[in-house]
Amino acid sequence: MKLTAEELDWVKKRMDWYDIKFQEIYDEVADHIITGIEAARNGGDQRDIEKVFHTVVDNSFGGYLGIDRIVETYQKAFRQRMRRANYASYKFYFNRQTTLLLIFLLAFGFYLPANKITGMVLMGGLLLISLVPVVYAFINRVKIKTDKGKYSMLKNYIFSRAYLLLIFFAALLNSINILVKDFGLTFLKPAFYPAAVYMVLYYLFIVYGLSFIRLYKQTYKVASQ
Amino acid sequence: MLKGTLQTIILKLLDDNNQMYGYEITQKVKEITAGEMILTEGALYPALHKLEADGLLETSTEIVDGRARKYYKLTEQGGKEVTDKLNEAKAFIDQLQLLLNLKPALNKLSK
Repeated sequence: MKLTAEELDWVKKRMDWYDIKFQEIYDEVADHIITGIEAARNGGDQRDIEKVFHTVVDNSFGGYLGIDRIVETYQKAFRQRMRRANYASYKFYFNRQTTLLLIFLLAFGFYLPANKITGMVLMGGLLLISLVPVVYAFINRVKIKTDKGKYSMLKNYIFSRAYLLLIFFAALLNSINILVKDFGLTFLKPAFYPAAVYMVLYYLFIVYGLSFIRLYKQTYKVASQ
Repeated sequence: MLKGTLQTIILKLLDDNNQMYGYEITQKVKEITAGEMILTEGALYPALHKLEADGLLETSTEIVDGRARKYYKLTEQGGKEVTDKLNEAKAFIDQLQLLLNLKPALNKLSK
């Protein structure tokens, strides 16, 4: 027996007490509770929604603490799953072809003049590469519907990975700036770096960007099925 | 329930039923065991999430009666794992059987 709109509304409001921040786990717990209440109704339990709700939550989840524990284990499992997926993506791109790319980049860098203009151009290139994950994530973003006050764990994770390279790049520049200006370590000026240093950074940034795109495609393929 | 058997039960049920959602799994266990075994959600969901994190299960979401329902099904790796887990469980039950059957005989010997 389906619940009435008022009963569903009551259940949703009552579930807000549990303070489940993430939409994914909220949906799963809510569906379980509502299905449990519907089954109880089908079994002849016509008591007030509040009483049936508490019976289902207490019997099924062991009350508030049980739900809290499920949320905690879900977050832990999610992080573990994403760590594995991340590792698999890096492993996929640290291969013979990208090693050849590194060799090519190093050889190319060998012929580049070590001056300020080269340094600036190469630094600009790094900035562009670090923007790739962010741009890719925005262009291909998948709409994940979330209720007011809820977040998608998946979306949060993916966008944090998308910004990571840009944040790393900004932090690197900032650190160099501080060391050069405040501590007088002028030899750290990017203009003095041999092109090979940039080439290694290019290689790492490219591998990160490719890994991110692979992770993004796989994650959203699974999420949108 | 013995440690590790919950995962075997979940994998076997999903192997038999293609895809299931959490509530359905609890009800199926209750139905098969005629109510002798009650699978609590506090145990079920962490086990499901662990199996998903281990790459043995994958999920999909469908809208049912206006709400999102998460279905679990076996991955290719999960499908292979079912046979191993079932063999392990069978071997364990055989050992247990052997031990329990041996017990009266051992008692007689000691007298």
